[in-house]
Amino acid sequence: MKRTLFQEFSKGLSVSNPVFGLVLGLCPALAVSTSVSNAIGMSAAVIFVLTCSNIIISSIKRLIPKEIRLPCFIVVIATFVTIVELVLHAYFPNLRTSLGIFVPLIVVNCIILGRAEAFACRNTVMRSMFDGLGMGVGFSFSLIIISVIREVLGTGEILGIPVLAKAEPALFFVLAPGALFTLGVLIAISNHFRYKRGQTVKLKGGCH
Amino acid sequence: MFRYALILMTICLVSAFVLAGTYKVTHPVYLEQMLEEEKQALGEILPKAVDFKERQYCDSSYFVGRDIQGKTVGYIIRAETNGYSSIIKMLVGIDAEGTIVGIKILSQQETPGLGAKITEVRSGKKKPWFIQQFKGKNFKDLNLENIESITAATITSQAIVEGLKKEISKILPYLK
Repeated sequence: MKRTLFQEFSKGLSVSNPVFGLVLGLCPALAVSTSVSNAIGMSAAVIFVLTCSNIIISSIKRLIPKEIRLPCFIVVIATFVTIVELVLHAYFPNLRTSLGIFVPLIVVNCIILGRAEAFACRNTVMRSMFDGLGMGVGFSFSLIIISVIREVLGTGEILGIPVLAKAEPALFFVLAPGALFTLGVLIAISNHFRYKRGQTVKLKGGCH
Repeated sequence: MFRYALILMTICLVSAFVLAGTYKVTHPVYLEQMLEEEKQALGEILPKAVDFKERQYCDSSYFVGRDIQGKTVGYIIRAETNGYSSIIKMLVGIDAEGTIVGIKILSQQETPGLGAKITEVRSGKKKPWFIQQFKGKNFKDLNLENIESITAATITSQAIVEGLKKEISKILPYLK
């Protein structure tokens, strides 16, 4: 039962959404979702790194012995992250300042190593590319939803444009507890719909 | 065993070459960007000055701003202060008495929604309200009582006031 390329792509948006489904990559999802512009920048960086590392790892999978696969994966991932960082430094200094430490931390983002280990090292280049794109877009989708909720409720603005004219914004949503609260509610909602559709709700998260 | 080392080394080598290439392309752009940003900030702080000369002092440097006739209109110093969650870097324009004439925050990573309000621009205004308050005040008169500090960001507000006081008093005797 082979999946089509489109299914490899779309699973990242539905069943195995990295944030709401697999519950991976929470560190950036919580930390960088304070504003929509940050979330978009982070998403672009993750899509790039995830797709490129999936392509490279799947194309050199035969050369890598099983015993040293993790250091090899990390080197490939770190290379792409450093490229992103250098490019941000040169062309998008403002974005670089607001993303801060979370760009270098993409190296240890669970989703990227997770996809390399679980998917790219066992599948063809084409499939891995679509898997990377799908997972990246799925991650972006979650990150942007979280950040829209947090920015609108927390600062009353969206991308710097005021949207809540009369109401006093609830600062809570911009701060760390607001991130956990928003994420929790969103995961609960997504699980609720899955449960209704008869899909099994995975009770355990983490990297396995 | 040897084979593993060889494979890993090859991967690292390729990666190093790729990164070196990227660095070579992006680094000049980055340096240019930094210079451009600083130049623009200098003009914003001392709009009357047309020429800026950098002078060394101790381990840092400051800028002397001159107008068309070559008259000194002010000085711009670099100031750094420890905020709540980051080092706040500023460029501060002062006159010979230590009165602040302009100020710009170059970089900060304070908490969004709280300390980061030091760069907040109120609707209808062009410049951030918080640091604009310092304009026209002598460094000796700076304290949190005559500055409207940011609600729930006392540490950040305090850091800027104290940082400005410290840096200006340190550099003032050297200005010429």
